[in-house]
Amino acid sequence: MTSRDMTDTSPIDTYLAVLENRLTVEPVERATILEEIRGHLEETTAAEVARGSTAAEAESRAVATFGDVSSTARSINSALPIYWDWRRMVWGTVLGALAIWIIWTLATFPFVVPMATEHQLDVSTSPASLLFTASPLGFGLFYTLRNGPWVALLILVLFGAIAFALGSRASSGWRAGLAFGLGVVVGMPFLPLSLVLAPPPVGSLSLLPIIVIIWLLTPYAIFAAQLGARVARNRDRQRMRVAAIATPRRRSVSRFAFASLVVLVALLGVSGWSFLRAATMKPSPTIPVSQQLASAQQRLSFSIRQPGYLPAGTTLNGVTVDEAWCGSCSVSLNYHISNGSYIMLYEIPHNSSEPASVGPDMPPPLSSSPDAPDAYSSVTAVSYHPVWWLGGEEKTEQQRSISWDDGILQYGIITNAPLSADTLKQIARSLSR
Amino acid sequence: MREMKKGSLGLLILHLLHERPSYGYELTERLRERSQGDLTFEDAAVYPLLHAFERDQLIEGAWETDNAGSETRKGARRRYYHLTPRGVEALRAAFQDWATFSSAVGRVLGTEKLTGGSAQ
Repeated sequence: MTSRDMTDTSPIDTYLAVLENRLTVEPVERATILEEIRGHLEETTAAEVARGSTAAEAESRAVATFGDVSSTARSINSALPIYWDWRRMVWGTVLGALAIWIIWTLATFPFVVPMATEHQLDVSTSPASLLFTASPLGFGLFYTLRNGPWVALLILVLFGAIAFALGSRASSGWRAGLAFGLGVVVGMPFLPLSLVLAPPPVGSLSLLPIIVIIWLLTPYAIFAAQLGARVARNRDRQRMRVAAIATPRRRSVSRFAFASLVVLVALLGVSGWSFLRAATMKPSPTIPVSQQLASAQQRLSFSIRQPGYLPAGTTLNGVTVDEAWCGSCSVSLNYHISNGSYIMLYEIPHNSSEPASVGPDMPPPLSSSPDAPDAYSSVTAVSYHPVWWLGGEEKTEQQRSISWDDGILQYGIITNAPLSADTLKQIARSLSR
Repeated sequence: MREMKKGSLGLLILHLLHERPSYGYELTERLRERSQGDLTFEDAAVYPLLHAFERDQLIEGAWETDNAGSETRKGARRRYYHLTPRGVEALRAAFQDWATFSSAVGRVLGTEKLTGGSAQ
Protein backbone atom coordinates (compact mmCIF):
# COMPACT_ATOMS: atom_id res chain seq x y z
CA MET A 1 0.00 0.00 0.00
CA THR A 2 1.38 3.40 -0.88
CA SER A 3 0.37 6.92 -0.06
CA ARG A 4 -1.20 7.13 -3.50
CA ASP A 5 -3.58 4.26 -2.65
CA MET A 6 -4.91 5.99 0.45
CA THR A 7 -7.86 8.25 0.74
CA ASP A 8 -7.51 11.70 2.26
CA THR A 9 -9.30 10.64 5.40
CA SER A 10 -7.19 7.60 6.21
CA PRO A 11 -5.83 7.45 9.81
CA ILE A 12 -2.29 7.74 8.45
CA ASP A 13 -3.06 10.90 6.46
CA THR A 14 -4.88 12.41 9.42
CA TYR A 15 -2.00 11.57 11.75
CA LEU A 16 0.56 13.07 9.38
CA ALA A 17 -1.54 16.19 8.76
CA VAL A 18 -1.82 16.86 12.50
CA LEU A 19 1.87 16.13 13.03
CA GLU A 20 2.84 18.45 10.17
CA ASN A 21 0.93 21.30 11.81
CA ARG A 22 2.64 20.77 15.13
CA LEU A 23 6.22 20.41 13.99
CA THR A 24 8.35 23.51 14.45
CA VAL A 25 11.44 22.24 12.62
CA GLU A 26 12.89 23.50 9.34
CA PRO A 27 10.70 22.86 6.27
CA VAL A 28 13.17 20.49 4.59
CA GLU A 29 13.65 18.50 7.80
CA ARG A 30 9.88 18.43 8.39
CA ALA A 31 9.26 17.03 4.91
CA THR A 32 11.93 14.34 5.46
CA ILE A 33 10.54 13.35 8.86
CA LEU A 34 6.96 13.18 7.57
CA GLU A 35 8.02 11.07 4.59
CA GLU A 36 9.95 8.70 6.82
CA ILE A 37 7.07 8.35 9.24
CA ARG A 38 4.69 7.72 6.35
CA GLY A 39 6.97 4.93 5.18
CA HIS A 40 7.12 3.54 8.72
CA LEU A 41 3.33 3.57 9.12
CA GLU A 42 2.84 1.96 5.71
CA GLU A 43 5.30 -0.84 6.51
CA THR A 44 3.57 -1.45 9.85
CA THR A 45 0.22 -1.52 8.05
CA ALA A 46 1.53 -3.99 5.50
CA ALA A 47 2.82 -6.23 8.31
CA GLU A 48 -0.55 -6.08 10.07
CA VAL A 49 -2.36 -6.96 6.83
CA ALA A 50 0.01 -9.88 6.37
CA ARG A 51 -0.99 -11.08 9.85
CA GLY A 52 -4.64 -11.11 8.78
CA SER A 53 -6.03 -7.67 9.63
CA THR A 54 -8.17 -5.68 7.22
CA ALA A 55 -6.54 -2.63 5.63
CA ALA A 56 -8.58 -0.22 7.78
CA GLU A 57 -7.81 -2.10 11.02
CA ALA A 58 -4.15 -2.36 10.08
CA GLU A 59 -3.83 1.37 9.48
CA SER A 60 -5.51 2.25 12.77
CA ARG A 61 -3.28 -0.19 14.64
CA ALA A 62 -0.16 1.17 12.93
CA VAL A 63 -1.02 4.69 14.00
CA ALA A 64 -1.86 3.58 17.56
CA THR A 65 1.41 1.70 18.06
CA PHE A 66 3.50 4.45 16.51
CA GLY A 67 2.78 6.88 19.34
CA ASP A 68 0.55 9.74 20.36
CA VAL A 69 0.79 12.55 17.82
CA SER A 70 1.20 15.26 20.47
CA SER A 71 4.05 13.57 22.30
CA THR A 72 5.69 12.64 18.99
CA ALA A 73 5.60 16.27 17.87
CA ARG A 74 6.87 17.39 21.27
CA SER A 75 9.81 15.04 21.31
CA ILE A 76 10.81 15.90 17.73
CA ASN A 77 10.48 19.63 18.43
CA SER A 78 12.52 19.43 21.61
CA ALA A 79 15.32 17.48 19.91
CA LEU A 80 15.66 19.78 16.90
CA PRO A 81 16.07 23.53 16.54
CA ILE A 82 13.01 25.67 15.88
CA TYR A 83 12.45 27.13 12.43
CA TRP A 84 11.29 30.75 12.53
CA ASP A 85 8.70 30.99 9.76
CA TRP A 86 6.92 34.30 9.14
CA ARG A 87 4.17 33.52 11.66
CA ARG A 88 6.69 32.82 14.41
CA MET A 89 8.58 35.96 13.40
CA VAL A 90 5.44 38.05 13.85
CA TRP A 91 4.99 36.58 17.33
CA GLY A 92 8.67 37.15 18.00
CA THR A 93 8.26 40.83 17.15
CA VAL A 94 5.25 41.10 19.48
CA LEU A 95 7.29 39.34 22.18
CA GLY A 96 10.17 41.76 21.57
CA ALA A 97 7.84 44.76 21.92
CA LEU A 98 6.38 43.40 25.17
CA ALA A 99 9.82 42.47 26.48
CA ILE A 100 11.34 45.92 25.93
CA TRP A 101 8.39 47.65 27.59
CA ILE A 102 8.35 45.29 30.59
CA ILE A 103 12.12 45.18 31.07
CA TRP A 104 12.53 48.93 30.56
CA THR A 105 9.75 49.79 33.01
CA LEU A 106 10.61 47.19 35.65
CA ALA A 107 14.32 48.04 35.56
CA THR A 108 13.75 51.81 35.68
CA PHE A 109 10.95 51.98 38.24
CA PRO A 110 12.97 51.09 41.39
CA PHE A 111 15.51 53.78 40.43
CA VAL A 112 12.92 56.44 39.64
CA VAL A 113 11.13 56.18 43.00
CA PRO A 114 14.05 57.30 45.21
CA MET A 115 14.95 60.01 42.67
CA ALA A 116 11.43 61.38 42.92
CA THR A 117 11.50 61.13 46.72
CA GLU A 118 14.75 63.06 46.87
CA HIS A 119 13.37 65.69 44.45
CA GLN A 120 15.93 64.84 41.77
CA LEU A 121 13.00 64.43 39.40
CA ASP A 122 10.30 66.99 38.80
CA VAL A 123 7.44 64.47 38.75
CA SER A 124 4.53 63.65 40.97
CA THR A 125 5.31 60.92 43.52
CA SER A 126 2.03 59.09 42.90
CA PRO A 127 2.66 55.44 41.90
CA ALA A 128 0.82 55.86 38.58
CA SER A 129 2.86 58.91 37.62
CA LEU A 130 6.11 57.18 38.61
CA LEU A 131 5.15 54.07 36.66
CA PHE A 132 4.52 56.23 33.61
CA THR A 133 7.83 58.02 34.12
CA ALA A 134 9.63 54.65 34.30
CA SER A 135 8.04 53.44 31.05
CA PRO A 136 9.62 54.04 27.62
CA LEU A 137 7.01 56.73 26.99
CA GLY A 138 7.86 58.68 30.15
CA PHE A 139 11.56 58.09 29.55
CA GLY A 140 12.65 58.26 33.18
CA LEU A 141 15.53 56.00 32.13
CA PHE A 142 17.47 59.03 30.91
CA TYR A 143 17.16 60.70 34.30
CA THR A 144 18.55 57.60 36.03
CA LEU A 145 21.66 57.84 33.82
CA ARG A 146 22.72 60.83 35.96
CA ASN A 147 23.48 58.34 38.73
CA GLY A 148 25.29 55.82 36.51
CA PRO A 149 24.62 53.49 33.60
CA TRP A 150 23.15 50.68 35.73
CA VAL A 151 19.60 50.71 34.42
CA ALA A 152 20.76 50.82 30.80
CA LEU A 153 23.15 47.94 31.47
CA LEU A 154 20.41 45.93 33.19
CA ILE A 155 18.12 46.43 30.20
CA LEU A 156 20.90 45.42 27.81
CA VAL A 157 21.65 42.25 29.78
CA LEU A 158 18.03 41.15 30.15
CA PHE A 159 17.01 41.96 26.57
CA GLY A 160 20.14 40.27 25.25
CA ALA A 161 19.54 37.23 27.47
CA ILE A 162 16.09 36.66 26.00
CA ALA A 163 17.43 37.05 22.45
CA PHE A 164 20.25 34.63 23.33
CA ALA A 165 17.74 32.08 24.68
CA LEU A 166 15.54 32.36 21.58
CA GLY A 167 18.59 31.98 19.34
CA SER A 168 19.84 28.94 21.22
CA ARG A 169 16.66 27.09 20.25
CA ALA A 170 16.44 28.43 16.71
CA SER A 171 17.68 26.81 13.52
CA SER A 172 18.91 30.23 12.38
CA GLY A 173 19.73 32.69 15.12
CA TRP A 174 19.47 35.78 12.94
CA ARG A 175 15.80 35.20 12.12
CA ALA A 176 14.91 34.89 15.80
CA GLY A 177 17.07 37.89 16.68
CA LEU A 178 15.68 40.02 13.86
CA ALA A 179 12.08 39.30 14.81
CA PHE A 180 12.72 39.89 18.52
CA GLY A 181 14.84 42.99 17.90
CA LEU A 182 12.25 44.52 15.56
CA GLY A 183 9.97 44.56 18.59
CA VAL A 184 11.94 47.62 19.76
CA VAL A 185 11.11 49.52 16.56
CA VAL A 186 7.51 48.32 16.38
CA GLY A 187 6.91 48.64 20.13
CA MET A 188 8.01 52.27 20.24
CA PRO A 189 6.32 53.89 17.22
CA PHE A 190 6.55 57.27 18.94
CA LEU A 191 10.33 57.39 18.46
CA PRO A 192 10.29 58.52 14.81
CA LEU A 193 7.21 60.64 15.55
CA SER A 194 9.14 62.51 18.20
CA LEU A 195 11.59 63.70 15.54
CA VAL A 196 8.75 65.63 13.96
CA LEU A 197 6.91 66.60 17.11
CA ALA A 198 9.85 67.47 19.35
CA PRO A 199 9.49 70.95 20.83
CA PRO A 200 12.08 73.53 19.66
CA PRO A 201 14.31 73.56 22.78
CA VAL A 202 14.81 69.78 22.47
CA GLY A 203 15.13 69.62 18.72
CA SER A 204 15.13 66.74 16.26
CA LEU A 205 18.89 66.71 15.88
CA SER A 206 19.45 66.07 19.58
CA LEU A 207 16.82 63.30 19.56
CA LEU A 208 18.21 61.49 16.54
CA PRO A 209 21.28 60.00 18.25
CA ILE A 210 19.12 58.86 21.19
CA ILE A 211 16.69 57.14 18.85
CA VAL A 212 19.52 55.54 16.87
CA ILE A 213 21.02 54.21 20.12
CA ILE A 214 17.67 52.66 21.07
CA TRP A 215 17.23 51.17 17.61
CA LEU A 216 20.68 49.62 17.91
CA LEU A 217 18.94 47.12 20.19
CA THR A 218 17.74 45.43 16.99
CA PRO A 219 21.21 44.48 15.65
CA TYR A 220 22.20 43.77 19.26
CA ALA A 221 19.34 41.23 19.49
CA ILE A 222 20.43 39.65 16.19
CA PHE A 223 23.98 39.36 17.51
CA ALA A 224 22.82 37.87 20.83
CA ALA A 225 20.53 35.36 19.09
CA GLN A 226 23.28 34.34 16.64
CA LEU A 227 25.62 33.86 19.58
CA GLY A 228 22.96 31.75 21.32
CA ALA A 229 22.54 29.55 18.24
CA ARG A 230 26.30 29.08 17.91
CA VAL A 231 26.83 28.28 21.58
CA ALA A 232 23.96 25.78 21.54
CA ARG A 233 25.31 24.07 18.41
CA ASN A 234 28.80 23.73 19.88
CA ARG A 235 27.47 22.54 23.22
CA ASP A 236 25.27 19.91 21.60
CA ARG A 237 28.10 18.61 19.48
CA GLN A 238 30.41 18.45 22.45
CA ARG A 239 27.80 16.61 24.50
CA MET A 240 27.05 14.16 21.71
CA ARG A 241 30.71 13.31 21.30
CA VAL A 242 31.00 12.44 24.95
CA ALA A 243 27.70 10.80 25.73
CA ALA A 244 25.99 9.97 22.46
CA ILE A 245 22.71 10.07 24.30
CA ALA A 246 20.25 12.57 22.96
CA THR A 247 19.06 14.32 26.03
CA PRO A 248 16.72 16.94 24.63
CA ARG A 249 17.88 20.54 24.77
CA ARG A 250 14.84 21.29 26.86
CA ARG A 251 16.80 20.61 30.03
CA SER A 252 19.36 23.35 29.42
CA VAL A 253 16.66 25.69 28.16
CA SER A 254 14.58 25.09 31.26
CA ARG A 255 17.60 25.97 33.40
CA PHE A 256 17.90 29.21 31.48
CA ALA A 257 14.17 29.83 31.69
CA PHE A 258 14.36 29.26 35.45
CA ALA A 259 17.17 31.81 35.78
CA SER A 260 15.19 34.31 33.70
CA LEU A 261 12.13 33.69 35.85
CA VAL A 262 14.17 34.34 39.00
CA VAL A 263 15.42 37.66 37.56
CA LEU A 264 11.89 38.61 36.46
CA VAL A 265 10.43 37.76 39.88
CA ALA A 266 13.24 39.75 41.55
CA LEU A 267 12.51 42.74 39.30
CA LEU A 268 8.80 42.42 39.97
CA GLY A 269 9.50 42.19 43.69
CA VAL A 270 11.73 45.27 43.76
CA SER A 271 9.27 47.18 41.55
CA GLY A 272 6.35 46.08 43.75
CA TRP A 273 8.22 47.22 46.84
CA SER A 274 9.02 50.55 45.16
CA PHE A 275 5.38 50.87 44.11
CA LEU A 276 4.22 50.39 47.70
CA ARG A 277 6.86 52.83 48.87
CA ALA A 278 5.63 55.41 46.37
CA ALA A 279 2.03 54.77 47.39
CA THR A 280 2.80 55.37 51.06
CA MET A 281 5.07 58.37 50.49
CA LYS A 282 3.91 61.55 52.18
CA PRO A 283 3.43 64.44 49.76
CA SER A 284 5.14 67.05 51.93
CA PRO A 285 7.23 67.11 55.08
CA THR A 286 5.25 67.40 58.26
CA ILE A 287 7.96 69.26 60.19
CA PRO A 288 6.55 72.60 61.42
CA VAL A 289 7.91 75.52 59.42
CA SER A 290 9.23 77.24 62.58
CA GLN A 291 11.27 74.12 63.29
CA GLN A 292 12.49 74.06 59.67
CA LEU A 293 13.59 77.65 60.04
CA ALA A 294 15.44 76.98 63.31
CA SER A 295 17.10 73.89 61.86
CA ALA A 296 18.18 75.82 58.73
CA GLN A 297 19.58 78.69 60.81
CA GLN A 298 21.78 76.24 62.78
CA ARG A 299 23.37 75.00 59.59
CA LEU A 300 24.06 78.41 58.07
CA SER A 301 26.93 80.79 58.71
CA PHE A 302 24.72 83.92 58.29
CA SER A 303 21.42 85.11 59.72
CA ILE A 304 18.38 84.32 57.65
CA ARG A 305 16.51 87.48 56.72
CA GLN A 306 12.73 87.33 56.51
CA PRO A 307 10.50 89.95 54.86
CA GLY A 308 8.47 92.13 57.18
CA TYR A 309 6.00 92.76 54.39
CA LEU A 310 4.22 90.16 52.27
CA PRO A 311 1.01 90.34 50.21
CA ALA A 312 -2.13 89.31 52.08
CA GLY A 313 -2.72 85.55 52.28
CA THR A 314 0.97 84.68 52.00
CA THR A 315 2.42 82.12 54.42
CA LEU A 316 5.84 80.58 54.84
CA ASN A 317 5.48 77.00 53.63
CA GLY A 318 9.01 75.58 53.76
CA VAL A 319 12.67 76.37 54.31
CA THR A 320 15.32 74.59 52.26
CA VAL A 321 19.06 74.66 52.83
CA ASP A 322 20.96 73.92 49.62
CA GLU A 323 23.03 70.80 50.26
CA ALA A 324 23.87 69.70 46.78
CA TRP A 325 25.57 72.79 45.36
CA CYS A 326 27.67 74.25 48.09
CA GLY A 327 27.20 72.22 51.28
CA SER A 328 24.76 74.12 53.51
CA CYS A 329 25.72 77.54 52.24
CA SER A 330 22.49 79.03 50.94
CA VAL A 331 18.83 79.02 51.89
CA SER A 332 15.51 79.40 50.13
CA LEU A 333 12.30 80.44 51.84
CA ASN A 334 9.21 79.16 50.06
CA TYR A 335 6.00 81.14 50.51
CA HIS A 336 2.55 80.14 49.29
CA ILE A 337 -0.08 82.66 48.39
CA SER A 338 -3.72 81.71 48.96
CA ASN A 339 -4.52 81.79 45.21
CA GLY A 340 -2.04 78.93 44.62
CA SER A 341 0.93 81.05 43.52
CA TYR A 342 4.32 81.09 45.18
CA ILE A 343 7.07 83.47 46.21
CA MET A 344 10.60 82.12 46.67
CA LEU A 345 13.30 84.07 48.46
CA TYR A 346 16.93 83.03 47.97
CA GLU A 347 19.81 84.13 50.19
CA ILE A 348 23.35 83.20 49.19
CA PRO A 349 26.55 84.39 50.89
CA HIS A 350 29.37 85.83 48.77
CA ASN A 351 31.99 83.33 49.89
CA SER A 352 30.01 80.32 48.65
CA SER A 353 30.86 78.44 45.49
CA GLU A 354 27.32 78.96 44.28
CA PRO A 355 27.14 80.32 40.75
CA ALA A 356 26.85 84.10 40.65
CA SER A 357 23.31 84.10 39.28
CA VAL A 358 20.28 83.31 41.42
CA GLY A 359 17.74 81.26 39.56
CA PRO A 360 17.85 80.46 35.87
CA ASP A 361 16.50 83.79 34.65
CA MET A 362 18.70 86.32 36.47
CA PRO A 363 21.91 87.20 34.69
CA PRO A 364 24.90 88.48 36.69
CA PRO A 365 26.19 90.92 37.71
CA LEU A 366 23.58 91.72 40.29
CA SER A 367 22.45 95.19 41.18
CA SER A 368 23.58 96.57 44.49
CA SER A 369 20.00 97.50 45.47
CA PRO A 370 16.52 96.14 44.82
CA ASP A 371 15.56 99.63 43.76
CA ALA A 372 18.03 99.68 40.86
CA PRO A 373 16.24 99.76 37.48
CA ASP A 374 17.91 96.53 36.26
CA ALA A 375 17.12 94.52 39.42
CA TYR A 376 13.62 93.63 38.24
CA SER A 377 12.82 91.23 35.40
CA SER A 378 9.77 89.49 34.06
CA VAL A 379 10.26 86.42 31.85
CA THR A 380 8.21 83.60 30.40
CA ALA A 381 9.52 80.38 31.94
CA VAL A 382 8.84 77.08 30.16
CA SER A 383 9.27 73.68 31.79
CA TYR A 384 8.67 70.28 30.23
CA HIS A 385 6.94 67.23 31.55
CA PRO A 386 8.84 63.92 31.06
CA VAL A 387 6.91 63.38 27.82
CA TRP A 388 9.11 66.06 26.40
CA TRP A 389 9.98 64.15 23.28
CA LEU A 390 6.40 64.01 22.19
CA GLY A 391 6.34 67.74 22.64
CA GLY A 392 3.29 67.04 24.76
CA GLU A 393 3.06 68.46 28.18
CA GLU A 394 4.83 71.71 28.80
CA LYS A 395 4.24 74.24 31.56
CA THR A 396 4.51 77.92 30.78
CA GLU A 397 4.35 80.60 33.45
CA GLN A 398 5.25 84.24 33.77
CA GLN A 399 7.96 84.57 36.40
CA ARG A 400 8.74 87.95 37.95
CA SER A 401 11.92 88.33 39.88
CA ILE A 402 14.08 90.82 41.61
CA SER A 403 17.71 90.25 42.55
CA TRP A 404 20.42 92.28 44.19
CA ASP A 405 23.63 92.03 46.15
CA ASP A 406 24.25 93.98 49.33
CA GLY A 407 27.95 93.10 49.47
CA ILE A 408 27.41 90.33 52.05
CA LEU A 409 24.63 88.24 50.55
CA GLN A 410 23.09 87.81 47.15
CA TYR A 411 19.29 87.90 47.18
CA GLY A 412 16.63 86.76 44.79
CA ILE A 413 12.86 86.89 44.94
CA ILE A 414 10.97 84.91 42.33
CA THR A 415 7.21 84.64 42.00
CA ASN A 416 4.64 83.41 39.53
CA ALA A 417 2.00 85.63 41.10
CA PRO A 418 0.98 88.75 39.15
CA LEU A 419 2.83 91.07 41.53
CA SER A 420 4.05 94.45 40.34
CA ALA A 421 7.69 95.50 40.42
CA ASP A 422 6.85 97.92 43.23
CA THR A 423 5.35 95.16 45.37
CA LEU A 424 8.44 93.01 44.91
CA LYS A 425 10.68 95.93 45.81
CA GLN A 426 8.54 96.53 48.89
CA ILE A 427 9.08 92.91 49.96
CA ALA A 428 12.83 93.29 49.33
CA ARG A 429 13.10 96.49 51.34
CA SER A 430 11.27 94.87 54.26
CA LEU A 431 13.94 92.19 54.78
CA SER A 432 15.10 92.43 58.37
CA ARG A 433 18.40 91.38 59.87
CA MET B 1 12.96 2.23 34.27
CA ARG B 2 11.34 4.67 31.86
CA GLU B 3 14.12 7.21 32.33
CA MET B 4 16.78 4.50 32.03
CA LYS B 5 15.26 3.29 28.78
CA LYS B 6 14.98 6.83 27.47
CA GLY B 7 18.58 7.54 28.30
CA SER B 8 19.88 4.36 26.69
CA LEU B 9 17.92 4.56 23.43
CA GLY B 10 20.52 6.79 21.76
CA LEU B 11 23.29 4.34 22.61
CA LEU B 12 21.25 1.40 21.31
CA ILE B 13 20.46 3.15 18.01
CA LEU B 14 24.10 4.08 17.42
CA HIS B 15 25.12 0.51 18.21
CA LEU B 16 22.57 -1.01 15.80
CA LEU B 17 23.66 1.42 13.06
CA HIS B 18 27.28 0.49 13.75
CA GLU B 19 26.37 -3.14 12.96
CA ARG B 20 24.77 -2.18 9.66
CA PRO B 21 22.97 0.75 8.00
CA SER B 22 19.30 0.74 8.83
CA TYR B 23 16.08 2.79 8.57
CA GLY B 24 13.54 3.82 11.21
CA TYR B 25 11.05 0.97 10.94
CA GLU B 26 13.78 -1.63 10.76
CA LEU B 27 15.53 -0.16 13.80
CA THR B 28 12.37 -0.47 15.91
CA GLU B 29 11.92 -4.06 14.76
CA ARG B 30 15.54 -4.91 15.54
CA LEU B 31 15.27 -3.31 18.98
CA ARG B 32 12.16 -5.37 19.76
CA GLU B 33 13.70 -8.56 18.44
CA ARG B 34 17.11 -8.16 20.13
CA SER B 35 15.63 -7.27 23.53
CA GLN B 36 13.11 -10.11 23.18
CA GLY B 37 10.34 -7.66 24.01
CA ASP B 38 11.86 -6.46 27.30
CA LEU B 39 12.75 -3.06 25.88
CA THR B 40 9.62 -1.51 24.50
CA PHE B 41 9.67 1.96 23.00
CA GLU B 42 7.04 3.81 21.06
CA ASP B 43 8.06 3.53 17.42
CA ALA B 44 8.05 7.32 17.14
CA ALA B 45 10.86 7.60 19.72
CA VAL B 46 13.59 6.75 17.22
CA TYR B 47 12.94 9.65 14.83
CA PRO B 48 13.87 12.60 17.07
CA LEU B 49 17.12 10.81 17.92
CA LEU B 50 17.92 9.92 14.31
CA HIS B 51 17.50 13.53 13.21
CA ALA B 52 19.34 14.97 16.21
CA PHE B 53 22.24 12.58 15.52
CA GLU B 54 22.20 13.49 11.85
CA ARG B 55 22.25 17.21 12.67
CA ASP B 56 25.22 16.58 14.94
CA GLN B 57 26.96 14.62 12.16
CA LEU B 58 27.09 11.35 14.10
CA ILE B 59 25.09 9.61 11.37
CA GLU B 60 24.23 10.27 7.75
CA GLY B 61 20.93 9.48 6.12
CA ALA B 62 19.99 8.89 2.48
CA TRP B 63 16.84 7.74 0.72
CA GLU B 64 17.07 4.20 -0.60
CA THR B 65 18.04 4.19 -4.29
CA ASP B 66 19.23 1.60 -6.82
CA ASN B 67 22.50 1.84 -8.73
CA ALA B 68 20.96 4.10 -11.37
CA GLY B 69 19.84 6.50 -8.71
CA SER B 70 16.09 5.82 -8.87
CA GLU B 71 14.02 4.31 -6.10
CA THR B 72 14.44 0.55 -5.79
CA ARG B 73 11.00 -0.36 -4.59
CA LYS B 74 7.48 0.75 -5.07
CA GLY B 75 5.68 1.64 -1.87
CA ALA B 76 6.99 2.98 1.41
CA ARG B 77 10.15 5.05 1.13
CA ARG B 78 13.07 4.14 3.37
CA ARG B 79 15.73 6.50 4.60
CA TYR B 80 18.83 4.52 5.51
CA TYR B 81 21.24 5.80 8.12
CA HIS B 82 24.85 4.85 8.67
CA LEU B 83 27.38 5.85 11.31
CA THR B 84 30.00 8.49 10.47
CA PRO B 85 33.55 8.30 11.89
CA ARG B 86 32.45 10.93 14.37
CA GLY B 87 29.52 8.69 15.31
CA VAL B 88 31.85 5.74 15.83
CA GLU B 89 33.93 7.83 18.18
CA ALA B 90 30.79 8.95 20.04
CA LEU B 91 29.54 5.37 20.28
CA ARG B 92 32.85 4.24 21.74
CA ALA B 93 32.77 6.99 24.37
CA ALA B 94 29.13 6.33 25.23
CA PHE B 95 29.72 2.58 25.44
CA GLN B 96 32.60 3.16 27.83
CA ASP B 97 30.39 5.44 29.96
CA TRP B 98 27.63 2.86 30.00
CA ALA B 99 30.00 0.02 30.92
CA THR B 100 31.46 2.05 33.78
CA PHE B 101 27.99 3.03 34.97
CA SER B 102 26.43 -0.43 34.81
CA SER B 103 29.44 -2.07 36.39
CA ALA B 104 29.37 0.48 39.25
CA VAL B 105 25.64 -0.06 39.77
CA GLY B 106 26.21 -3.83 39.65
CA ARG B 107 28.92 -3.61 42.29
CA VAL B 108 26.70 -1.55 44.61
CA LEU B 109 23.68 -3.80 44.18
CA GLY B 110 25.70 -7.01 44.36
CA THR B 111 24.20 -8.35 41.16
CA GLU B 112 25.68 -11.81 41.56
CA LYS B 113 23.91 -12.24 44.89
CA LEU B 114 20.62 -11.08 43.42
CA THR B 115 20.85 -13.47 40.51
CA GLY B 116 21.85 -16.25 42.92
CA GLY B 117 18.61 -15.66 44.85
CA SER B 118 20.33 -15.01 48.20
CA ALA B 119 19.08 -11.44 48.51
CA GLN B 120 15.45 -10.83 49.39
